Amino acid sequence: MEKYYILTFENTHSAINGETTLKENKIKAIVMPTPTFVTKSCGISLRVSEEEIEKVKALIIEEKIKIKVSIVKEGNSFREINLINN
Amino acid sequence: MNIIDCKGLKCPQPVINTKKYFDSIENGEAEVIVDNEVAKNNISKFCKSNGFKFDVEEKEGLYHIKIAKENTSCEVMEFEKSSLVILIGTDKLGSGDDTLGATLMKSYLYALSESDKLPTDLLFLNSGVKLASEGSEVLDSLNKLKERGVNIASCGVCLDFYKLKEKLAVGEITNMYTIIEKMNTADNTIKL
Repeated sequence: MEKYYILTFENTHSAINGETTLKENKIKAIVMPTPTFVTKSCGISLRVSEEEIEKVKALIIEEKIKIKVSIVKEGNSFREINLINN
Repeated sequence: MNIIDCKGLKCPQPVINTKKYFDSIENGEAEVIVDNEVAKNNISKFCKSNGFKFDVEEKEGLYHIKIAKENTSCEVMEFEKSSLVILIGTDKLGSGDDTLGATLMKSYLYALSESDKLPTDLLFLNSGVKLASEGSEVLDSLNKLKERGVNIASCGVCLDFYKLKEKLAVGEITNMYTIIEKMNTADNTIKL
């Protein structure tokens, strides 16, 4: 079953900065619109694979990247997840 | 029953083979065998849009799709999708800040690749051809669109201008005559 993570941000600027930071750290992230059920406004999110998520966690802990919420998508279900205390 | 063996064939060949067979007969049945889910889904969609009865069975990693075309007294309604051409004349979406424009284009093509209603053609012009070339960050989305049957083509003059002719990573090279033909015969054209 396909599983990946969606990182959302406070605003568009921090999403673009987040993408740059992930790129600098050689983490593959796909830019995607924030799913409608998360926000009705036009948001930018980053999609990260399961293999890469540990590296993202490290960047969050080091405060190199600041996300709003993270969502895990498994099959057809989305659920919010706390990446740090998990 | 007639078997249409599509094992090992790349998209959209299984759908093409299936369509060819059912175009050639008035009514009848056939069993299509495919080895991947995308092909199975595409063939299921093809059956639905043509009003064919079908039944899928999974056996040892292969999908056996039994399809029946029945000649009913009433003509099956045409659900043939209308053609939609999207012309992408830039590698950034909208005008204003370039960083934002590049991000929006990535977001747009990702969402387009997940969309239920797909365009028939995506045509790349001017700096838009960079999106279909090596090093582009939207190749995953474009490959997915291609896999789902969207025809992707880039303007040859433009590839040549940006010295990307050898670096085209997805789709075909096209020329202005084809671009005009596609746009002029399309039911709808969207220019980005």
